[in-house]
Amino acid sequence: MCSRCVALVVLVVALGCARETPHPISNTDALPDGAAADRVIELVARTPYLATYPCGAQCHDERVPDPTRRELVTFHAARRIAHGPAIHWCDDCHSITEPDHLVSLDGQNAISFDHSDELCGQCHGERHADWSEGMHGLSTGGWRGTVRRRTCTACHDPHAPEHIQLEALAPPRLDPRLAPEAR
Amino acid sequence: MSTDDKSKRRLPVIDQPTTSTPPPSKDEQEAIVRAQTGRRAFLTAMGAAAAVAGGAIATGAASMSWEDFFRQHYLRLDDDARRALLAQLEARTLAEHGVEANIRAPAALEGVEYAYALNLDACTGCRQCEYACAAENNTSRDPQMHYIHVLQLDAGTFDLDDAEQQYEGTVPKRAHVYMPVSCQQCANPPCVRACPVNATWREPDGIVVVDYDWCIGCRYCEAACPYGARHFNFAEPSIAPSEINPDQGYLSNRIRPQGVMEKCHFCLHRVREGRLPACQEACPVGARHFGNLLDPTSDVRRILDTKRVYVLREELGTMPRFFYFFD
Repeated sequence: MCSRCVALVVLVVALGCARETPHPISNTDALPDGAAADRVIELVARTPYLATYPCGAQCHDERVPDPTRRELVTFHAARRIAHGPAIHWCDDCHSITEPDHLVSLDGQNAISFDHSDELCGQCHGERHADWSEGMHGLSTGGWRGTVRRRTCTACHDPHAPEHIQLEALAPPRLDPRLAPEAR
Repeated sequence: MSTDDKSKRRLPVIDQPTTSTPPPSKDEQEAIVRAQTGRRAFLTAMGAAAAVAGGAIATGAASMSWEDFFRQHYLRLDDDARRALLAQLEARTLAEHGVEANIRAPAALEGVEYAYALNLDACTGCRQCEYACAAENNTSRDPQMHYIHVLQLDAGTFDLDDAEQQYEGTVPKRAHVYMPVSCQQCANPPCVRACPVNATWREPDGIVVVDYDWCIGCRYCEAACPYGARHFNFAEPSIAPSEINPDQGYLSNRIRPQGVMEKCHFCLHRVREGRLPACQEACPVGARHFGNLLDPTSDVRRILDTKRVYVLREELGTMPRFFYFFD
């Protein structure tokens, strides 16, 4: 078994329970040759954090989604769509026929919510390449051994992607005795 | 020697007969004495003992044993001596702080040289890394010591002299960029050359470490460091026992005594076990990337190969292993 195969055993992990079967990330060929065998990359599943997932069982098995472009009043009313120019609508990314899945731009392939990178990468190819090589995005766990990576939607709200605003922790407390010149 | 003699020495007169070399002053004597409390107390006691020509040494030297004082440099210790040293430190941590620490001394991994890459476009200046570092590394809470300082710079400039450290509120602020600065882990470290007693050195995996038991607290390294990355324990470090991280390393985050230097060590006790530094684990925006510089497929190597990389004060030739990049 080549080292790349070992390195690319990509598991979708949830907090304790995997909801999906292990699923290789889409662009395994884009990973560099001779990727070190000392790393196993795990994608952190997104679905356990989605409040209304599974969408089918919770609602859309009964209620067939209406793809008409309109003002959302009864459901998803809080959802603001501000992703690039105002050309996007729900069914660009969400599958009408399979409510528990996203769908590729050509409408051919269902994409898991745990692999939003496959969807986002259709347009944001350069960023996606960076992400798949570990140059973009959040990874934890270890620099070798098990590396846990997040997919796009763990940080970016795809409906209205914006720069993240955070509350800064307290500024360093400078002891006036130790740093009299401190501003 | 009278005060008149002293003033003559201060203003030398040409063609006058020179006075005999004065004995070293008290200050000069102290300068060669270890600043570490135990060592100084011991030496003082030993000096007193020598003065009474071979009298008992034990008086007044309670804090340090013969083995402590005459032990070899850390790098010359064999495995048994190291184990004994770690056990001794664990016992001391338990006695002084009531914490059962697990102090380890992991060796550098073969074929590994660590490097850090920080995405300046992503960093929001939230200071999560700063506080995670303090919690991981048992740095003093009062007076507060932080290894990481987040600088707020005006967008479009890298004027570090005008950097703001005391910003507050919601970040990132408009038209500002944020630059966390800690030890740059130089491949050509000026601090190491400045140390007169070899208490700080560069490990084979590129981490510049400090032996807190060997440091004499002269602060030469602090003056030599162009990044302000080395910090001095003016006071006894104070941490509540409940906040002490028991996962410790000899050359990294074990509890320091007063009067020694300390600095970022890339979380040595974590990274040599394959884990990530605490600052990367804490970063909520994924601005930090840590990895092996010698592995061409590692995250940091891919960043160095493909991104616009910036090194802090490159002109000084310190060759940092900490890289800032834009994407």
